[in-house]
Amino acid sequence: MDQLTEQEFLRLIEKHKGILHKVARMYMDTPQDREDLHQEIIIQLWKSCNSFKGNSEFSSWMYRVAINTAISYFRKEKKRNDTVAYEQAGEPENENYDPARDRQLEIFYQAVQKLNPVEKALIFYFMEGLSHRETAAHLGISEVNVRVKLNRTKEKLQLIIKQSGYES
Amino acid sequence: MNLDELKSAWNTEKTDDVHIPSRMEQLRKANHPLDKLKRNMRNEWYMQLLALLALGLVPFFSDLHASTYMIYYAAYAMCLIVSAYYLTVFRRFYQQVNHYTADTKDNLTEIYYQFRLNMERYHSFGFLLIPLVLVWGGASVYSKLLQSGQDFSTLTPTLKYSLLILAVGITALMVLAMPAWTRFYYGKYTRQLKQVLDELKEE
Repeated sequence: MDQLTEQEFLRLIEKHKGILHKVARMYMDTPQDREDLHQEIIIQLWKSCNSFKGNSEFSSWMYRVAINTAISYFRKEKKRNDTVAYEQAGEPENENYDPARDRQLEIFYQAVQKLNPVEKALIFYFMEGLSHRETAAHLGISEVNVRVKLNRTKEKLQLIIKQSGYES
Repeated sequence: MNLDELKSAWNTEKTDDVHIPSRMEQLRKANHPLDKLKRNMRNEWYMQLLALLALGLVPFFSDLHASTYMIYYAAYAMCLIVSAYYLTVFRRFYQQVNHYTADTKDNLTEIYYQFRLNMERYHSFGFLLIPLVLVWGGASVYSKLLQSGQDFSTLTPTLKYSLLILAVGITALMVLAMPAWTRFYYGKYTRQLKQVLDELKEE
């Protein structure tokens, strides 16, 4: 496949911007950090563009670059006063938040913040509907390891959700 | 919470918060830790080159006796040759570190070990300067002695031991300073990478 032009690239990113949104929501807990990560992923995708050969789906290639960027995008350790406790969590600013439809999702995202970077990647791929085999290929670990870690991560996530006071 | 049921909400989630630019130039420069480290390394490379060239001018701007130039430049030439190797590999390193497309484990493993290797290269590059610094110090002391009509053989034993202790002290300081320098600038990032790699280990 020929190298993507800038406009073709941006069109593809627009089409798959849900990946940017979800990865950023899983890895960052404030709108500002999420916006920074969106930009960073787009930059890294553009810089890595020549490695996209067109043999795989664009979305599949984008998953890999987005997750690799998010995992290694370590923020400075700082005392953050812009994170909120579950009890205090309200409607996120500047986001079209529909409490009725999105409440579960909002609690889910808040709980995900407590996971480590690899656990976040596992949950992300699970939510995207990838098989254990596909997740293993993206993370570079065995299918068995994916199954074990995913089950453990789901249990951990349920525990965090429960401890946050949420009851379905 | 049933995560399988949550997938429908996940799949239909609004993405209004993502703003795709109409041109790439509208984005700010890359701010990823790896890009920052690469920028740091590029700046350091130029500083190292300048410092190395400046060391070649030391005899002209210090009060070294002309008879010590030979020994100084012999040490400087060795330093220069080995530095050329280090500066080449440093440059190649910061130009090449840019891998986001391999699978996560391979990607992080490569970055992690490249950084560890480069930190070790920094150490040995720093250690390489020790003989030159010692020759410079020795030549300075010798020049001062010559100016006062003396040489090393006329020094008192106490002064000789003091100079020896000073040389050992300078060496020890440089040996300790280099790892501290790399730990300060690169240690945190490599520790974080190692932590993620440990999380990817088979269970």
